[in-house]
Amino acid sequence: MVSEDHLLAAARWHVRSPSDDMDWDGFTNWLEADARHREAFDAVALDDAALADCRAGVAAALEGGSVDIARSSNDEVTANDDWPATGANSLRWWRWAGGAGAAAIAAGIAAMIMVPGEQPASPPAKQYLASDGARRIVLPDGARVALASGSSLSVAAGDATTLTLKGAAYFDVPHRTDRTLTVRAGDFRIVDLGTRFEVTSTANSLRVTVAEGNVSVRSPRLTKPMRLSAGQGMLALDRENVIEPLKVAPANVGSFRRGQLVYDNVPLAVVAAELGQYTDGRIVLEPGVGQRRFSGSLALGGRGEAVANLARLMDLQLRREGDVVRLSAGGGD
Amino acid sequence: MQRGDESETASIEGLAGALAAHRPELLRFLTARTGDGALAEDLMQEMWLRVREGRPVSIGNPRAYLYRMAQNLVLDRLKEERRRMARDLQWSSSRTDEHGADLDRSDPEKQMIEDERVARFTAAIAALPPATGRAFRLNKIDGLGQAEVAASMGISRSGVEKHIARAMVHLRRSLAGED
Repeated sequence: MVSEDHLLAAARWHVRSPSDDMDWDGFTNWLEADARHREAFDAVALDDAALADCRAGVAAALEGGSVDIARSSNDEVTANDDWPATGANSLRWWRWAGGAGAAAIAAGIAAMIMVPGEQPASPPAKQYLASDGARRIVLPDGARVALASGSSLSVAAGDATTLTLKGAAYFDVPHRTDRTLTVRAGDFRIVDLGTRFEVTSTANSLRVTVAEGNVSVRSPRLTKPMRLSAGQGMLALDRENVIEPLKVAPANVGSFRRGQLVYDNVPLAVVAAELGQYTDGRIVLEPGVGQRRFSGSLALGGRGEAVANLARLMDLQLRREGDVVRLSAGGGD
Repeated sequence: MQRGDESETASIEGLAGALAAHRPELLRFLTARTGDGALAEDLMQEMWLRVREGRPVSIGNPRAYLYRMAQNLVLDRLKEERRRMARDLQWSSSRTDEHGADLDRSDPEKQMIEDERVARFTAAIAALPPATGRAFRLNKIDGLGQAEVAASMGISRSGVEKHIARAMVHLRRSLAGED
Protein backbone atom coordinates (compact mmCIF):
# COMPACT_ATOMS: atom_id res chain seq x y z
CA MET A 1 0.00 0.00 0.00
CA VAL A 2 1.24 3.45 -0.87
CA SER A 3 1.82 5.59 2.20
CA GLU A 4 -0.01 8.86 2.77
CA ASP A 5 3.25 10.85 2.88
CA HIS A 6 4.47 9.46 -0.40
CA LEU A 7 1.11 10.14 -2.02
CA LEU A 8 1.05 13.72 -0.86
CA ALA A 9 4.58 14.34 -2.06
CA ALA A 10 3.73 12.69 -5.39
CA ALA A 11 0.61 14.81 -5.75
CA ARG A 12 2.61 17.98 -5.10
CA TRP A 13 5.08 17.10 -7.83
CA HIS A 14 2.24 16.23 -10.13
CA VAL A 15 0.44 19.51 -9.52
CA ARG A 16 3.58 21.49 -10.30
CA SER A 17 4.58 19.62 -13.42
CA PRO A 18 2.49 21.59 -15.95
CA SER A 19 4.25 24.77 -14.87
CA ASP A 20 7.33 26.03 -16.67
CA ASP A 21 9.06 26.58 -13.34
CA MET A 22 8.68 22.95 -12.24
CA ASP A 23 11.84 21.73 -10.53
CA TRP A 24 12.55 18.74 -12.75
CA ASP A 25 15.94 18.07 -11.13
CA GLY A 26 14.33 17.95 -7.72
CA PHE A 27 11.62 15.65 -9.06
CA THR A 28 14.22 13.29 -10.57
CA ASN A 29 16.11 13.21 -7.26
CA TRP A 30 12.90 12.47 -5.40
CA LEU A 31 12.08 9.59 -7.76
CA GLU A 32 15.58 8.15 -7.42
CA ALA A 33 15.50 8.34 -3.63
CA ASP A 34 12.95 5.55 -3.15
CA ALA A 35 11.24 3.18 -5.59
CA ARG A 36 7.97 3.66 -3.70
CA HIS A 37 7.95 7.28 -4.82
CA ARG A 38 7.50 6.14 -8.38
CA GLU A 39 4.65 3.88 -7.38
CA ALA A 40 2.92 6.75 -5.59
CA PHE A 41 3.41 9.03 -8.57
CA ASP A 42 2.03 6.40 -10.96
CA ALA A 43 -1.13 6.16 -8.87
CA VAL A 44 -1.66 9.92 -8.81
CA ALA A 45 -0.92 10.38 -12.51
CA LEU A 46 -3.29 7.55 -13.47
CA ASP A 47 -6.08 8.99 -11.33
CA ASP A 48 -5.61 12.35 -12.96
CA ALA A 49 -5.65 10.82 -16.46
CA ALA A 50 -8.75 8.78 -15.64
CA LEU A 51 -10.52 11.88 -14.39
CA ALA A 52 -9.52 13.81 -17.50
CA ASP A 53 -11.00 11.02 -19.63
CA CYS A 54 -14.39 11.27 -18.00
CA ARG A 55 -14.32 14.93 -17.10
CA ALA A 56 -17.38 15.87 -19.16
CA GLY A 57 -19.46 13.23 -17.39
CA VAL A 58 -18.23 14.26 -13.95
CA ALA A 59 -18.83 17.92 -14.78
CA ALA A 60 -22.40 17.17 -15.79
CA ALA A 61 -22.96 15.12 -12.65
CA LEU A 62 -21.52 17.81 -10.41
CA GLU A 63 -23.10 20.79 -12.12
CA GLY A 64 -26.48 21.60 -10.77
CA GLY A 65 -25.49 25.26 -10.59
CA SER A 66 -24.02 25.64 -14.06
CA VAL A 67 -26.81 27.92 -15.20
CA ASP A 68 -25.54 30.93 -13.35
CA ILE A 69 -22.01 30.50 -14.56
CA ALA A 70 -23.20 30.20 -18.14
CA ARG A 71 -25.32 33.31 -17.90
CA SER A 72 -22.50 35.28 -16.36
CA SER A 73 -20.16 34.37 -19.20
CA ASN A 74 -22.75 35.54 -21.66
CA ASP A 75 -23.18 38.93 -20.01
CA GLU A 76 -19.48 39.40 -19.94
CA VAL A 77 -19.13 38.55 -23.59
CA THR A 78 -21.69 41.05 -24.82
CA ALA A 79 -20.03 43.72 -22.76
CA ASN A 80 -16.64 43.13 -24.36
CA ASP A 81 -17.16 42.72 -28.03
CA ASP A 82 -13.63 43.66 -28.98
CA TRP A 83 -11.84 41.26 -26.63
CA PRO A 84 -9.26 43.30 -24.76
CA ALA A 85 -5.96 41.51 -25.12
CA THR A 86 -5.16 41.20 -21.44
CA GLY A 87 -5.82 38.45 -18.97
CA ALA A 88 -8.09 40.78 -17.01
CA ASN A 89 -11.02 39.74 -19.11
CA SER A 90 -11.17 36.13 -18.08
CA LEU A 91 -10.02 37.03 -14.60
CA ARG A 92 -13.04 39.18 -13.96
CA TRP A 93 -15.33 36.46 -15.08
CA TRP A 94 -13.80 33.92 -12.81
CA ARG A 95 -13.62 36.22 -9.85
CA TRP A 96 -17.35 36.23 -10.14
CA ALA A 97 -17.31 32.45 -10.08
CA GLY A 98 -15.58 32.73 -6.74
CA GLY A 99 -18.59 34.55 -5.33
CA ALA A 100 -22.02 33.38 -6.34
CA GLY A 101 -20.58 30.37 -8.14
CA ALA A 102 -19.04 29.13 -4.94
CA ALA A 103 -22.43 29.26 -3.30
CA ALA A 104 -23.94 27.34 -6.18
CA ILE A 105 -21.15 24.78 -5.99
CA ALA A 106 -21.51 24.49 -2.22
CA ALA A 107 -25.26 24.05 -2.62
CA GLY A 108 -24.68 21.32 -5.18
CA ILE A 109 -22.37 19.48 -2.83
CA ALA A 110 -24.79 19.82 0.08
CA ALA A 111 -27.61 18.43 -2.04
CA MET A 112 -25.50 15.47 -3.07
CA ILE A 113 -24.50 14.64 0.46
CA MET A 114 -28.09 14.66 1.59
CA VAL A 115 -29.24 12.14 -0.97
CA PRO A 116 -26.48 9.55 -1.07
CA GLY A 117 -26.79 6.95 -3.74
CA GLU A 118 -28.91 9.10 -6.00
CA GLN A 119 -27.75 10.74 -9.17
CA PRO A 120 -27.45 14.48 -8.57
CA ALA A 121 -30.07 16.57 -10.33
CA SER A 122 -27.90 17.67 -13.22
CA PRO A 123 -29.76 17.38 -16.49
CA PRO A 124 -29.02 20.16 -18.94
CA ALA A 125 -32.15 21.72 -20.36
CA LYS A 126 -31.71 19.65 -23.44
CA GLN A 127 -29.26 17.23 -24.88
CA TYR A 128 -29.08 16.30 -28.53
CA LEU A 129 -27.44 13.05 -29.56
CA ALA A 130 -26.58 11.97 -33.06
CA SER A 131 -26.21 8.30 -32.37
CA ASP A 132 -26.67 7.05 -35.89
CA GLY A 133 -25.87 9.44 -38.70
CA ALA A 134 -25.57 13.22 -38.73
CA ARG A 135 -28.44 15.24 -37.36
CA ARG A 136 -29.76 18.72 -38.01
CA ILE A 137 -30.90 20.90 -35.15
CA VAL A 138 -32.49 24.31 -35.14
CA LEU A 139 -31.95 26.10 -31.84
CA PRO A 140 -34.73 28.27 -30.40
CA ASP A 141 -33.01 31.49 -31.49
CA GLY A 142 -32.62 30.38 -35.08
CA ALA A 143 -29.05 29.07 -35.05
CA ARG A 144 -28.72 25.95 -37.15
CA VAL A 145 -26.46 23.10 -36.15
CA ALA A 146 -25.37 19.98 -38.01
CA LEU A 147 -24.29 17.46 -35.41
CA ALA A 148 -21.94 14.74 -36.64
CA SER A 149 -22.70 11.10 -36.08
CA GLY A 150 -21.58 9.94 -32.65
CA SER A 151 -21.56 13.47 -31.22
CA SER A 152 -23.62 15.19 -28.58
CA LEU A 153 -24.61 18.78 -27.90
CA SER A 154 -26.14 20.02 -24.67
CA VAL A 155 -27.90 23.28 -24.09
CA ALA A 156 -27.49 24.74 -20.59
CA ALA A 157 -30.65 24.88 -18.53
CA GLY A 158 -32.16 28.32 -18.74
CA ASP A 159 -29.60 29.63 -21.20
CA ALA A 160 -29.99 28.60 -24.80
CA THR A 161 -26.85 30.48 -25.83
CA THR A 162 -24.41 28.22 -24.00
CA LEU A 163 -23.80 24.89 -25.68
CA THR A 164 -21.51 22.06 -24.68
CA LEU A 165 -20.15 19.90 -27.47
CA LYS A 166 -18.63 16.44 -27.49
CA GLY A 167 -17.55 15.39 -30.95
CA ALA A 168 -18.08 17.41 -34.11
CA ALA A 169 -20.63 19.99 -35.17
CA TYR A 170 -21.08 22.68 -37.79
CA PHE A 171 -22.73 25.90 -36.66
CA ASP A 172 -24.58 28.41 -38.79
CA VAL A 173 -25.47 31.33 -36.58
CA PRO A 174 -27.22 34.45 -37.85
CA HIS A 175 -25.75 37.62 -36.41
CA ARG A 176 -27.77 39.21 -33.66
CA THR A 177 -26.75 42.14 -31.52
CA ASP A 178 -28.60 40.94 -28.47
CA ARG A 179 -26.82 37.68 -27.94
CA THR A 180 -23.68 35.68 -28.59
CA LEU A 181 -23.48 31.96 -28.78
CA THR A 182 -20.84 30.15 -26.74
CA VAL A 183 -19.76 26.61 -27.52
CA ARG A 184 -17.87 24.89 -24.74
CA ALA A 185 -15.55 22.03 -25.63
CA GLY A 186 -13.08 20.80 -23.06
CA ASP A 187 -11.46 23.82 -21.48
CA PHE A 188 -12.07 25.97 -24.54
CA ARG A 189 -14.93 28.32 -25.24
CA ILE A 190 -15.69 29.29 -28.79
CA VAL A 191 -17.64 32.51 -28.86
CA ASP A 192 -19.48 33.20 -32.03
CA LEU A 193 -20.19 36.62 -33.40
CA GLY A 194 -22.55 35.64 -36.22
CA THR A 195 -20.88 33.14 -38.49
CA ARG A 196 -20.46 29.65 -39.86
CA PHE A 197 -17.88 27.41 -38.26
CA GLU A 198 -17.03 23.86 -37.28
CA VAL A 199 -15.83 22.54 -33.95
CA THR A 200 -14.48 19.02 -33.45
CA SER A 201 -13.42 17.94 -30.00
CA THR A 202 -11.94 14.61 -28.99
CA ALA A 203 -10.52 13.44 -25.70
CA ASN A 204 -7.14 14.98 -26.52
CA SER A 205 -7.69 17.61 -29.17
CA LEU A 206 -9.82 20.47 -30.32
CA ARG A 207 -10.10 21.73 -33.89
CA VAL A 208 -11.99 24.89 -34.84
CA THR A 209 -12.35 26.08 -38.43
CA VAL A 210 -14.26 29.10 -39.72
CA ALA A 211 -16.12 29.34 -43.03
CA GLU A 212 -17.57 32.81 -42.64
CA GLY A 213 -17.50 35.65 -40.12
CA ASN A 214 -15.45 35.55 -36.93
CA VAL A 215 -15.22 33.49 -33.78
CA SER A 216 -13.26 34.14 -30.65
CA VAL A 217 -11.61 31.20 -28.90
CA ARG A 218 -10.97 31.53 -25.21
CA SER A 219 -9.33 29.22 -22.74
CA PRO A 220 -7.32 29.32 -19.54
CA ARG A 221 -4.62 27.89 -21.76
CA LEU A 222 -4.49 30.99 -23.92
CA THR A 223 -3.00 34.21 -22.64
CA LYS A 224 -5.54 36.14 -24.66
CA PRO A 225 -8.53 35.21 -26.79
CA MET A 226 -7.75 34.06 -30.31
CA ARG A 227 -9.81 35.60 -33.04
CA LEU A 228 -10.37 33.45 -36.11
CA SER A 229 -11.92 34.64 -39.33
CA ALA A 230 -13.01 32.91 -42.53
CA GLY A 231 -10.36 30.54 -43.84
CA GLN A 232 -8.63 30.32 -40.48
CA GLY A 233 -8.63 27.70 -37.80
CA MET A 234 -6.84 26.44 -34.75
CA LEU A 235 -5.78 23.08 -33.42
CA ALA A 236 -5.15 22.41 -29.74
CA LEU A 237 -3.31 19.28 -28.70
CA ASP A 238 -3.95 18.68 -25.01
CA ARG A 239 -1.24 16.13 -24.49
CA GLU A 240 1.53 18.29 -25.88
CA ASN A 241 -0.04 21.47 -24.58
CA VAL A 242 0.42 23.01 -27.99
CA ILE A 243 -1.90 25.26 -29.95
CA GLU A 244 -1.27 25.82 -33.62
CA PRO A 245 -2.98 27.78 -36.36
CA LEU A 246 -4.68 26.02 -39.28
CA LYS A 247 -5.56 27.14 -42.75
CA VAL A 248 -8.77 25.89 -44.24
CA ALA A 249 -10.72 26.28 -47.45
CA PRO A 250 -14.08 27.72 -46.32
CA ALA A 251 -15.89 25.19 -48.52
CA ASN A 252 -14.34 22.38 -46.48
CA VAL A 253 -15.60 23.62 -43.14
CA GLY A 254 -18.25 21.21 -41.91
CA SER A 255 -17.48 18.77 -44.71
CA PHE A 256 -18.67 15.87 -42.55
CA ARG A 257 -22.17 16.94 -43.60
CA ARG A 258 -21.47 15.50 -47.01
CA GLY A 259 -19.74 12.46 -45.59
CA GLN A 260 -16.19 13.68 -45.90
CA LEU A 261 -13.40 14.65 -43.54
CA VAL A 262 -10.91 17.08 -45.06
CA TYR A 263 -7.55 17.82 -43.46
CA ASP A 264 -4.64 20.05 -44.24
CA ASN A 265 -1.45 19.16 -42.40
CA VAL A 266 -3.08 17.75 -39.26
CA PRO A 267 -1.29 15.20 -37.01
CA LEU A 268 -2.47 11.63 -37.52
CA ALA A 269 -3.23 11.36 -33.82
CA VAL A 270 -5.92 13.98 -34.29
CA VAL A 271 -7.21 12.51 -37.55
CA ALA A 272 -7.47 9.07 -35.92
CA ALA A 273 -9.23 10.45 -32.85
CA GLU A 274 -11.75 12.36 -34.96
CA LEU A 275 -12.30 9.40 -37.23
CA GLY A 276 -12.78 7.23 -34.15
CA GLN A 277 -15.92 9.18 -33.36
CA TYR A 278 -17.58 7.87 -36.48
CA THR A 279 -16.69 4.23 -35.99
CA ASP A 280 -17.59 1.63 -33.41
CA GLY A 281 -14.12 0.30 -32.92
CA ARG A 282 -11.01 1.91 -31.64
CA ILE A 283 -8.12 3.16 -33.74
CA VAL A 284 -4.74 2.66 -32.11
CA LEU A 285 -1.62 4.28 -33.51
CA GLU A 286 1.69 2.61 -32.86
CA PRO A 287 4.36 4.86 -31.35
CA GLY A 288 5.68 7.55 -33.65
CA VAL A 289 2.84 7.34 -36.16
CA GLY A 290 0.63 9.90 -34.40
CA GLN A 291 3.02 12.76 -35.09
CA ARG A 292 2.91 12.34 -38.85
CA ARG A 293 0.86 14.89 -40.71
CA PHE A 294 -2.03 14.13 -43.00
CA SER A 295 -3.39 16.26 -45.81
CA GLY A 296 -6.28 14.99 -47.86
CA SER A 297 -9.86 13.91 -47.63
CA LEU A 298 -11.44 10.76 -46.28
CA ALA A 299 -14.88 9.51 -47.27
CA LEU A 300 -16.98 8.38 -44.34
CA GLY A 301 -18.38 5.49 -46.33
CA GLY A 302 -19.02 1.97 -45.19
CA ARG A 303 -17.60 0.46 -42.09
CA GLY A 304 -13.87 0.94 -41.71
CA GLU A 305 -13.48 2.37 -45.19
CA ALA A 306 -12.11 5.71 -44.06
CA VAL A 307 -9.44 4.23 -41.85
CA ALA A 308 -8.40 1.85 -44.63
CA ASN A 309 -8.06 4.80 -46.99
CA LEU A 310 -6.07 6.70 -44.42
CA ALA A 311 -3.69 3.77 -44.04
CA ARG A 312 -3.25 3.53 -47.79
CA LEU A 313 -2.69 7.26 -48.28
CA MET A 314 -0.17 7.42 -45.46
CA ASP A 315 1.53 4.13 -46.30
CA LEU A 316 0.67 2.60 -42.96
CA GLN A 317 0.18 -1.01 -42.08
CA LEU A 318 -3.33 -1.79 -40.88
CA ARG A 319 -4.11 -4.63 -38.51
CA ARG A 320 -7.54 -5.49 -37.16
CA GLU A 321 -7.87 -7.19 -33.79
CA GLY A 322 -11.52 -7.55 -32.91
CA ASP A 323 -12.90 -4.04 -33.11
CA VAL A 324 -9.48 -2.50 -32.62
CA VAL A 325 -7.66 -1.20 -35.67
CA ARG A 326 -3.91 -0.76 -35.32
CA LEU A 327 -1.93 1.47 -37.61
CA SER A 328 1.82 1.14 -37.69
CA ALA A 329 4.64 2.46 -39.84
CA GLY A 330 5.99 0.74 -42.93
CA GLY A 331 3.07 -0.87 -44.67
CA GLY A 332 2.54 -1.33 -48.41
CA ASP A 333 5.65 -3.02 -49.76
CA MET B 1 -1.19 32.19 -32.19
CA GLN B 2 -0.80 35.81 -31.40
CA ARG B 3 2.21 37.73 -32.55
CA GLY B 4 3.45 38.30 -29.04
CA ASP B 5 4.06 34.63 -28.50
CA GLU B 6 6.27 34.11 -31.48
CA SER B 7 9.30 35.62 -29.79
CA GLU B 8 9.43 32.74 -27.34
CA THR B 9 8.57 30.06 -29.87
CA ALA B 10 11.16 27.35 -30.30
CA SER B 11 11.65 26.39 -33.91
CA ILE B 12 11.89 22.73 -34.76
CA GLU B 13 15.67 22.97 -35.07
CA GLY B 14 15.69 24.73 -31.72
CA LEU B 15 13.71 21.94 -30.13
CA ALA B 16 15.95 19.24 -31.58
CA GLY B 17 18.91 21.22 -30.30
CA ALA B 18 17.36 21.44 -26.87
CA LEU B 19 16.73 17.70 -26.93
CA ALA B 20 20.38 17.04 -27.78
CA ALA B 21 21.53 19.43 -25.07
CA HIS B 22 19.31 17.92 -22.39
CA ARG B 23 19.56 14.30 -23.45
CA PRO B 24 21.57 13.05 -20.44
CA GLU B 25 19.28 14.58 -17.85
CA LEU B 26 16.14 13.53 -19.74
CA LEU B 27 17.40 9.96 -19.92
CA ARG B 28 18.17 10.03 -16.23
CA PHE B 29 14.69 11.35 -15.57
CA LEU B 30 13.05 8.70 -17.78
CA THR B 31 15.03 5.99 -16.01
CA ALA B 32 13.98 7.26 -12.60
CA ARG B 33 10.39 7.71 -13.72
CA THR B 34 10.04 4.22 -15.23
CA GLY B 35 12.56 2.29 -13.12
CA ASP B 36 13.61 0.61 -16.35
CA GLY B 37 16.74 1.67 -18.24
CA ALA B 38 15.84 -0.11 -21.46
CA LEU B 39 12.37 1.37 -21.54
CA ALA B 40 13.86 4.79 -20.87
CA GLU B 41 16.08 4.39 -23.96
CA ASP B 42 13.03 3.42 -26.03
CA LEU B 43 11.13 6.45 -24.87
CA MET B 44 14.12 8.66 -25.55
CA GLN B 45 14.12 7.34 -29.11
CA GLU B 46 10.44 8.11 -29.40
CA MET B 47 11.08 11.65 -28.27
CA TRP B 48 13.59 12.08 -31.09
CA LEU B 49 10.98 10.92 -33.58
CA ARG B 50 8.36 13.22 -32.19
CA VAL B 51 10.60 16.21 -32.16
CA ARG B 52 11.75 15.54 -35.71
CA GLU B 53 8.30 14.93 -37.12
CA GLY B 54 6.31 17.36 -35.03
CA ARG B 55 5.84 20.96 -36.00
CA PRO B 56 4.76 22.67 -32.84
CA VAL B 57 4.51 26.39 -32.45
CA SER B 58 4.42 28.39 -29.27
CA ILE B 59 6.83 26.62 -26.99
CA GLY B 60 7.72 28.95 -24.18
CA ASN B 61 10.34 26.86 -22.43
CA PRO B 62 11.83 24.03 -24.52
CA ARG B 63 13.39 22.21 -21.57
CA ALA B 64 10.14 22.15 -19.59
CA TYR B 65 8.31 21.19 -22.77
CA LEU B 66 10.65 18.22 -23.32
CA TYR B 67 10.26 17.07 -19.73
CA ARG B 68 6.50 17.22 -20.06
CA MET B 69 6.70 15.29 -23.30
CA ALA B 70 8.77 12.62 -21.51
CA GLN B 71 6.32 12.61 -18.63
CA ASN B 72 3.37 12.11 -21.01
CA LEU B 73 5.09 9.29 -22.88
CA VAL B 74 5.58 7.45 -19.59
CA LEU B 75 1.94 8.02 -18.70
CA ASP B 76 0.81 6.67 -22.08
CA ARG B 77 2.84 3.50 -21.51
CA LEU B 78 1.43 3.18 -18.04
CA LYS B 79 -2.15 3.52 -19.24
CA GLU B 80 -1.54 0.97 -21.95
CA GLU B 81 -0.13 -1.44 -19.40
CA ARG B 82 -3.09 -0.98 -17.06
CA ARG B 83 -5.51 -1.53 -19.89
CA ARG B 84 -3.79 -4.77 -20.74
CA MET B 85 -3.87 -5.83 -17.11
CA ALA B 86 -7.55 -5.02 -16.90
CA ARG B 87 -8.18 -7.12 -19.99
CA ASP B 88 -6.31 -10.04 -18.49
CA LEU B 89 -8.24 -9.71 -15.27
CA GLN B 90 -11.54 -9.57 -17.07
CA TRP B 91 -11.89 -13.34 -16.95
CA SER B 92 -11.04 -13.79 -13.32
CA SER B 93 -12.93 -10.88 -11.83
CA SER B 94 -16.31 -9.34 -12.37
CA ARG B 95 -15.03 -5.91 -11.45
CA THR B 96 -12.63 -3.70 -13.25
CA ASP B 97 -10.06 -1.50 -11.56
CA GLU B 98 -10.78 2.18 -11.46
CA HIS B 99 -8.67 2.83 -14.51
CA GLY B 100 -9.93 -0.12 -16.47
CA ALA B 101 -11.86 1.61 -19.18
CA ASP B 102 -11.56 -1.47 -21.29
CA LEU B 103 -12.59 -0.41 -24.74
CA ASP B 104 -12.69 -3.89 -26.15
CA ARG B 105 -15.83 -4.71 -24.28
CA SER B 106 -19.36 -4.57 -25.56
CA ASP B 107 -21.04 -1.18 -25.73
CA PRO B 108 -23.50 -1.56 -22.83
CA GLU B 109 -20.73 -2.90 -20.65
CA LYS B 110 -18.40 -0.10 -21.67
CA GLN B 111 -21.13 2.37 -20.85
CA MET B 112 -21.69 0.76 -17.48
CA ILE B 113 -18.02 0.93 -16.59
CA GLU B 114 -17.86 4.52 -17.75
CA ASP B 115 -20.94 5.45 -15.70
CA GLU B 116 -19.50 3.78 -12.66
CA ARG B 117 -16.23 5.62 -13.06
CA VAL B 118 -18.05 8.93 -13.40
CA ALA B 119 -20.13 8.16 -10.29
CA ARG B 120 -17.06 7.30 -8.23
CA PHE B 121 -15.18 10.42 -9.22
CA THR B 122 -18.27 12.55 -8.66
CA ALA B 123 -18.85 11.15 -5.18
CA ALA B 124 -15.17 11.49 -4.27
CA ILE B 125 -15.01 15.10 -5.46
CA ALA B 126 -18.28 16.02 -3.74
CA ALA B 127 -16.88 14.68 -0.46
CA LEU B 128 -13.79 16.93 -0.52
CA PRO B 129 -13.49 19.66 2.13
CA PRO B 130 -15.11 22.85 0.72
CA ALA B 131 -12.09 25.00 -0.18
CA THR B 132 -10.10 22.00 -1.41
CA GLY B 133 -13.04 20.86 -3.47
CA ARG B 134 -13.53 24.27 -4.98
CA ALA B 135 -9.90 24.67 -6.00
CA PHE B 136 -9.89 21.16 -7.42
CA ARG B 137 -13.09 21.63 -9.38
CA LEU B 138 -12.12 24.96 -10.83
CA ASN B 139 -8.83 23.46 -12.02
CA LYS B 140 -9.73 19.92 -13.05
CA ILE B 141 -13.39 20.22 -14.03
CA ASP B 142 -13.75 23.81 -15.24
CA GLY B 143 -10.28 23.84 -16.76
CA LEU B 144 -8.93 27.00 -15.15
CA GLY B 145 -5.18 27.34 -14.84
CA GLN B 146 -3.76 27.32 -11.33
CA ALA B 147 -3.06 31.06 -11.47
CA GLU B 148 -6.67 31.72 -12.39
CA VAL B 149 -7.89 29.51 -9.57
CA ALA B 150 -5.67 31.47 -7.19
CA ALA B 151 -7.10 34.76 -8.46
CA SER B 152 -10.69 33.60 -8.30
CA MET B 153 -10.32 32.24 -4.76
CA GLY B 154 -8.17 35.09 -3.53
CA ILE B 155 -5.41 32.78 -2.31
CA SER B 156 -1.78 32.25 -3.29
CA ARG B 157 -0.62 30.02 -6.07
CA SER B 158 1.07 27.67 -3.60
CA GLY B 159 -2.18 27.57 -1.63
CA VAL B 160 -3.87 26.31 -4.78
CA GLU B 161 -1.17 23.70 -5.29
CA LYS B 162 -1.66 22.46 -1.75
CA HIS B 163 -5.42 22.20 -2.17
CA ILE B 164 -5.15 20.29 -5.42
CA ALA B 165 -2.47 17.96 -4.10
CA ARG B 166 -4.55 17.25 -1.01
CA ALA B 167 -7.59 16.62 -3.19
CA MET B 168 -5.68 14.09 -5.24
CA VAL B 169 -4.67 12.20 -2.12
CA HIS B 170 -8.30 12.16 -0.94
CA LEU B 171 -9.36 10.94 -4.35
CA ARG B 172 -6.82 8.13 -4.35
CA ARG B 173 -7.97 7.07 -0.90
CA SER B 174 -11.61 7.07 -1.78
CA LEU B 175 -11.13 5.30 -5.11
CA ALA B 176 -8.95 2.65 -3.46
CA GLY B 177 -11.40 2.27 -0.59
CA GLU B 178 -14.15 1.21 -2.95
CA ASP B 179 -12.19 -1.61 -4.49
